[in-house]
Amino acid sequence: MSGFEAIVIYLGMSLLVVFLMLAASAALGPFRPAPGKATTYECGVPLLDPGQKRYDVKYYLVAVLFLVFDLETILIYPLAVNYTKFAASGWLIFFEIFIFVAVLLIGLLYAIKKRAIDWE
Amino acid sequence: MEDLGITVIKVVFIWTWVLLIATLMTWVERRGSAMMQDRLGPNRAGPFGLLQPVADGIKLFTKEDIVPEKAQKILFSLGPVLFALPAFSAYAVVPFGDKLVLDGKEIILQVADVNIGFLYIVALGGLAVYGMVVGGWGSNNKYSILGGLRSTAQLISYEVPFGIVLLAVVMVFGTFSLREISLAQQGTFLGFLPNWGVFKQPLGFILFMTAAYAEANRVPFDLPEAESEIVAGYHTEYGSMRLGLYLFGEYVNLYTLAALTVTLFFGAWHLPYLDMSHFLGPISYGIASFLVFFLKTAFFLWLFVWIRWTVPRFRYDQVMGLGWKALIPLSLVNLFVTALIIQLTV
Amino acid sequence: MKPKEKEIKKSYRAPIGPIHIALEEPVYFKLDLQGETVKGVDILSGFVHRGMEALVLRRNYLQNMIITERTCSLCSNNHPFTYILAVEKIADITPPPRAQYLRVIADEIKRAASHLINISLQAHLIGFHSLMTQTMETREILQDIKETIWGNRMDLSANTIGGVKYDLDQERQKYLIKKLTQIRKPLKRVLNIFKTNSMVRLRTEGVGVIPKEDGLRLGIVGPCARGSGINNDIRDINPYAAYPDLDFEVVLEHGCDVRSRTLVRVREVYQAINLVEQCLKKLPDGPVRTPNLPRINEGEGVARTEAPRGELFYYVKSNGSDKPERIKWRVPTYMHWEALTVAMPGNKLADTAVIFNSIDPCISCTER
Repeated sequence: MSGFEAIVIYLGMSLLVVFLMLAASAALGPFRPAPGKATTYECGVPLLDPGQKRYDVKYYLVAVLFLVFDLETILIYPLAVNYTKFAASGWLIFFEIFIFVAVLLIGLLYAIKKRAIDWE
Repeated sequence: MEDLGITVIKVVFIWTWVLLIATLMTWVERRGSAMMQDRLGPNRAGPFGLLQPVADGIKLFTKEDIVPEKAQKILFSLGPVLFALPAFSAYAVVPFGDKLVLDGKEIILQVADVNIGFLYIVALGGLAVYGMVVGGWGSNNKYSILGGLRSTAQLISYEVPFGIVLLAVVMVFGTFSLREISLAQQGTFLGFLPNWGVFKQPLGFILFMTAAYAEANRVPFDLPEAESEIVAGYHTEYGSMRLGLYLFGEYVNLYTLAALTVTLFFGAWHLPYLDMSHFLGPISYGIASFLVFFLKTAFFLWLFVWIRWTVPRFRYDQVMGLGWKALIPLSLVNLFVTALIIQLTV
Repeated sequence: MKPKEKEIKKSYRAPIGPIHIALEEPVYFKLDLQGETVKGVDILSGFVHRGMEALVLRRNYLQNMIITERTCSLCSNNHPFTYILAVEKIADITPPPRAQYLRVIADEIKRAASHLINISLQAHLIGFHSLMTQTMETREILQDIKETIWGNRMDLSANTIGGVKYDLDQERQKYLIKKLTQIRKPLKRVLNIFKTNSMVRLRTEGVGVIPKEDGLRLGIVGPCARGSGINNDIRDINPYAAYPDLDFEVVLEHGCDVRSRTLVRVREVYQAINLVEQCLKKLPDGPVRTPNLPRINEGEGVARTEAPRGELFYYVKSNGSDKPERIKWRVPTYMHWEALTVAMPGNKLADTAVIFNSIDPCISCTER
């Protein structure tokens, strides 16, 4: 478990600098509130609709698909890192990966066929 | 196990270095684009306008910090932090040189040589999405929300091929440690090529670069901030240093991605057909490896600029189509072929 | 009633304009969006109304040449030109032949410059900034020509009642020929990108379709109509000035989309250069304007010309005094606004700006 304390230091450094930057900006910048300043930018006209409302379900669909694919990718990682060792001992792991990838591909083709990714 | 002092020095050095280069990148980008467009670009602040990033920084620091009245204050303030933190921290596991021997002590030129360096990079890359979507949603502005949603969908879509391509790379090198991958790229491959990842994973390299451009929100994938449609995307409402964090974060991301490309595909600090450690002293070797690594990274940084100004932007549906219908199947095929070749040659 | 309500709930409205990066002039679109797809568009205007049609009634015929020129910057040659043609019809003036050719030269140079600015804006809107600046750089040669010959980069003030205000001596003709040869190479390099680059094609092909039937129904004009395969070129169907003597072919494309409108403009830039060269070859000798102008009688005159954006139409009514009684003009963009409601729905949000630019909008002409 070597090296992780370095990462912690690195993260701490990032955190420190980010907050220093924001604090410096807050301290150095002027504060002159005016009614026009804080309005939402919408091309200079009165707001048509509130901004936060229901948006297209397509974005959600992409998120679900991502979850499926990314999880499966993570599942192959342990196999992949030791793959050379497995490969020396036979074809078993290769076929396992093959089946895994094939299932993924079929799933992807199904999603494409269902037009989950088309933005029509 | 090194002592804490050296680690801290390394952290401070590389952190400052990355930030410095990222700052300089804004200058390179503006001058580079000016060069391609028959313009001059910024040339007033300092020699060749080199101090322009400093001037920009000062301007951002001294701007008023406006929070729109309709915005959700907490989310609005959280957005830039969430975006900048992973971006600034991702470089921790990427090497920046081989090693430096000082007073008999061996200093590895990498902040943290952890055995899951790979996963760390992928994880932090994924976290950037939060900064965009939280900032976009918190602004409570239609363009921001649309930009945030777009960037989420785009980033997670390209996260998948990114991950799968890295899988194939991991398969080839058999390790998650970026230093071990770098070390493994010494010597020659097939007798005449440098032993670089790009020759072992040619398709993987192209897919990786494409996904990396999408991850970095660069043209042709800069849809989250496509100005002709949604003004400035998720950071429409931001000003002062909050905006600065978003913009900075993007350039730091570029540096990390360029360094990652060099580490995985272009032999890290190794020169082709030449082993520097044979004829250089321990200190000069360390410096030379750092310089070689940096020059390679600089090339890829320049490539980012180059491509940005020579191609138009994709449309949103085209980006998603490319990601899911081309990159993911191709990266799966790449994974499969890699597995097959390793199986046959072992 | 019920399903329609649901439909409305699913969509949300986002504005583009009046102040938006993608717009060159203020106009206000209310877009009904569903996801990324535009379902409906509502156009509001009136941000640059200057009351020009009333202003022209307070000035005399010569002053109106100047004020009509200020209607818009990009067709600033065509507005006074068409107005002058209408006035000449009332007063029954025939300009000398040399003036007719000089009018075409000014017209075509302006047309080429206007088309180049439009396609360079298109490059900007699809995110291709280098192409935009390169196109503008090429256009700079045309600007140089304008500045050298007419003394101004935008408003040429070339035409006057009964002729033109400038003449091309040998030196200027030589200069013009030299510059036109000089522009060909960079022009070809830049315009070939519009023609062949696959990513530009990806963004413009099949986008913003105005079918031929809809085009005829809505009466679209100019490069928009020609991009939909409708020959609406006034230079061809109702020739004026020296156009009857010149040899040119109307540019027609049949794709009906943004790309074919761009291609029409690209080809017309070449055509304009050809026409200028033809004019210079055929340029007759003689005076450039009618020496003694008659008084403008009572009467009505109508003229139309092919502006860079399409048919420009002027109606002038005179009551015998030195001021016109009524001037009414119709500009090409007016019809194209309605065409937007055909072209936009069904396209992506990303394309709205590109489609809007493809009709070559001129808000200040339209609202005057």
